[in-house]
Amino acid sequence: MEAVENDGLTAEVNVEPDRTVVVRVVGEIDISTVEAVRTAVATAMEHDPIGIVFDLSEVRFIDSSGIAVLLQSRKAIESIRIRNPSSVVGRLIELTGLTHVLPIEP
Amino acid sequence: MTSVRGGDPVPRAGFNHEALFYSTDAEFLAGTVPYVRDGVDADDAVLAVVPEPHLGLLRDALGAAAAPVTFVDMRTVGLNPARVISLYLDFVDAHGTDHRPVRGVGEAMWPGRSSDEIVECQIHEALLNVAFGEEAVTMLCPFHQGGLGPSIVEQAQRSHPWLNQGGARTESMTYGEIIADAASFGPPLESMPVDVDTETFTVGELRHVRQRVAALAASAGLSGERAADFVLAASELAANSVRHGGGTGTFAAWMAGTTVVCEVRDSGRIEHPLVGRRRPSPDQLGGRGLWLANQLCDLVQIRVGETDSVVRIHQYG
Repeated sequence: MEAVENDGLTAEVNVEPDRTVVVRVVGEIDISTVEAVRTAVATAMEHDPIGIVFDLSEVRFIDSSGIAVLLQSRKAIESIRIRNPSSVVGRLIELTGLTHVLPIEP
Repeated sequence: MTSVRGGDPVPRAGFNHEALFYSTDAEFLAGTVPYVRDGVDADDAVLAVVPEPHLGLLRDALGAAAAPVTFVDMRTVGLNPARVISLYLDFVDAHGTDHRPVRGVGEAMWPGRSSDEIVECQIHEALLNVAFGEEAVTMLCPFHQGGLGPSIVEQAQRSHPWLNQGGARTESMTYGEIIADAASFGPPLESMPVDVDTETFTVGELRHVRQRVAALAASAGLSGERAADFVLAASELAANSVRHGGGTGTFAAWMAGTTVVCEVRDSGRIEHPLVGRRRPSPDQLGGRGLWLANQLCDLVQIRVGETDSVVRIHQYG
């Protein structure tokens, strides 16, 4: 496991046996912390993943910069899934109309 | 559309923007029903964004012709008038592929709207002329003369090239005057209460901004989601100041009666009057902040001065 920390935000990178990479974010995502998520995505890409899953169950705040970094990761890899979004994450994805672009794991 | 400064009194080809002045429900229906029917008969895509109880009246009066019409209650979607253009643009985009002309009825105001809301409605009406350039869009905007007062009629004449009263259609003599004003987003805001603290923030204080706004929203008794929405909007405004407003800004938050208000000010100048009124595309990475604030809050006021910009957001308690 690799972890990136930035001002109270942690982004852990875990490679699963099928080469799905799980990026687990804990904390508040805004423009002062989002770089840690971006770095975690770059780390994830080094593992030549078949897909990236963002575990966002412990995200207590997310703004549009957080949405931007999720959208940006789609440019690097097609298969993106959101796992266990906290209420604020679910609310923002729904409000921005991006549920089909940032699908929540069944 | 890049500039509206100086105004442009000539109605643009494509967009047909007409005000309907009425005093009674019967007059409202006499103006709107044939207009909607004509659109349905011509196979236009028809959208009616009208406050209840007019929405139900219009639907009932249309009978079978109501079936292909999309009805939306202005009191919910348009409580914050800055959300309405986004809804219209979504509708136009959805019908852009089949090249059907779009016909809309939009009644943004109703008796009982606050004076702050009415100002934003007037800005909305003026900006409709900016939002729809080339598209084949026809818009009829009913105004209740008695319930809204004479200055509302005057303002409507400035924002609508065509006026309809009692079935007579005339060209407005004052159309265009308001559009140049709308580029600076409207009249100055009321001063904030004197005892409110204004704090400076930079990127490191975004969380502090959120904490202060959250504490106020909680003390005001806003529900969890409405409080969280308001905090997100305030944070987006502050983040905009950091990104586009010179890296720093000032903020203040206070109660106005049962309403929670937050203001963010910075030295950036918001240039495009339609900012925040177009749904960002899924491919777009940035530029979501003000659109989100409009969706999240009950009222959003943007004002641009010579050297700074201010955005004030309201959540009703």
